Amino acid sequence: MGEIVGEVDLTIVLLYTFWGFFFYLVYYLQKESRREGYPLESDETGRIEEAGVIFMPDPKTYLMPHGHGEVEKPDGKREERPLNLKPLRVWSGAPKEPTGNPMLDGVGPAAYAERADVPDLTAEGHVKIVPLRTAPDFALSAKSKSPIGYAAMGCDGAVGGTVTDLWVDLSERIIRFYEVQLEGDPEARVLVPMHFGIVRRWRGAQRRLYVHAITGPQFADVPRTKSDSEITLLEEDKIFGYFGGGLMYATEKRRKPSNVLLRYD
Amino acid sequence: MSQYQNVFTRTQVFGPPDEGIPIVGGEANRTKKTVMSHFLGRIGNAQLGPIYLGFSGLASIGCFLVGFNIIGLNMLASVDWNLGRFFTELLWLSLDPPLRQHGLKILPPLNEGGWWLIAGFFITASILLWWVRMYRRAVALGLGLHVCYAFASAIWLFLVLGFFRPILMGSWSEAVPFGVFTHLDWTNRFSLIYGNLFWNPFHGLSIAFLYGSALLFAMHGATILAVSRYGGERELEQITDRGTAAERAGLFWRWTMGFNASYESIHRWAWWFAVLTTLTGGIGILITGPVVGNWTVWGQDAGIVPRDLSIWPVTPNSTVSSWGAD
Repeated sequence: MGEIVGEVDLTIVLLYTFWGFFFYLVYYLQKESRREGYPLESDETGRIEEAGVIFMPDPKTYLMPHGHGEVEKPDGKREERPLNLKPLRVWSGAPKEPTGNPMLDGVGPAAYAERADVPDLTAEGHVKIVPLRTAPDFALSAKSKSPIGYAAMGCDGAVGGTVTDLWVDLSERIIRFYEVQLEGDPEARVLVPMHFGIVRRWRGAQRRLYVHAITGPQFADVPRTKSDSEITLLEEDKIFGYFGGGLMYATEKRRKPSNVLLRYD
Repeated sequence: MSQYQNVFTRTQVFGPPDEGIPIVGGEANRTKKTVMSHFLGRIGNAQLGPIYLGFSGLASIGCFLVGFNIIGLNMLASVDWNLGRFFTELLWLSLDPPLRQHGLKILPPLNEGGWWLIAGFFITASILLWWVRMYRRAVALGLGLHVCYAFASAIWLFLVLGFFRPILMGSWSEAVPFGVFTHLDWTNRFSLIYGNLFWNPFHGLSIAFLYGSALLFAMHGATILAVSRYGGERELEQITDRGTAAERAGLFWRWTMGFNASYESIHRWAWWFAVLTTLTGGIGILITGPVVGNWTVWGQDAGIVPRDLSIWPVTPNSTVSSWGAD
């Protein structure tokens, strides 16, 4: 049944047609994956490793809303920032260490990307992430416990400040940042990303905002926003980078792996 | 205690109702009322509504209810209208397709499969109308047609099972019964009759894509949850303006499996694998019977099943242990 010629039957024809299609599909999907992060460049020389024309997708234009024009990907842009890194050894592929404050150097676990220096917008074109005090229509639901007023505590148990407000996403209706007023400085306020903090009971009854990524004193160094009621995508990324960096650099104990390496000198 | 959990929203933000994206000429079909639910807000968006109704959606729901009730009442009739038996035996009850002797007759006697055809008609109409709704809403909102194309792939398998293949075989009796255990039994019997579906290459492809799409979606979901504290779940913005979340997500996979998808392409990967699950499955079912009568024999011709199992015993046989006899 289903034989076309000799040993070739319809099922085999269908199957190999499908294999051909699937081979092309994987090729297409792999090309699509290269709209970001390609072509690769050498860690040492910075020279671009030519992937070959057939492995790179043709540029595609995205039409952006709110008069933000067009974005083309791949855009061929390369990182212009100087890397605050020094290699620990002379050989290629050697581990590198940040040169300054590892949580602010913008490399490794503290890395951030050069995102647009404009606030994210809602579908209607309003600034999307704002403090509750400037969004009078928005409030915490009646059944929710407000973390405003809680002490913000770092991984060392030291209090770095007090939660004074919540920055909410007007589209998704969730909290994005805790606004923390620094201890001993009523003017200075920093933002803690929502998912880097957790409300915990501290020593019995008192609730606190516990931030595992950084220590109490390190709240003072969180990158600030230009405006006190808006945050740009770039500022968001810098804050994320700072807290991400804290997970590996906040305390001496967390920096250990590179110490192990240095001991062989 | 874990450092961050974002499965449940512990502190909810309520605001004025979100009326949705404006649509030209379509506002009249939207319900006006919105409800804020604290419970829904624990796991997602607290707002319920506005809901778009429209002709195709309401007609689809209507057709579904008719089909659903015909199936339910037939099952109830099969247990002499005894509600107690109906609920205790529900998983075993069935509305079967027409008897073989009726072939492709449009309306055989109701008690010999006519009800199955009527219920199948309404269920099919319901699904096709829901597809129309998906299509028209996507156009109205200026979206791509990815959702309704993916839905069409699932409809393809549904139509192959209950419509295309029975027509090719010349009898509605070939179709799947409406019933929980009976449709599972149909699947088992279908495999046995046609010489073990195990050797049907499209059946294998469908399973590979089923597991593959489950794996891809799990990988994607896990990746996004893992970078959500870097703002990574705002995916659309990351596609055109890459942030550290996208870089970390990509780097993780480049380190762990050697390459990575992008914030846009992971959705293309998962979409295609999901679509191919039912697309290849439908092909596999359609050719079982009309093209191939016995998949073990086909496998022997194709060189994947040895003709003499004693010299090359690769065919799995769960009745015999590889350790020998008991």
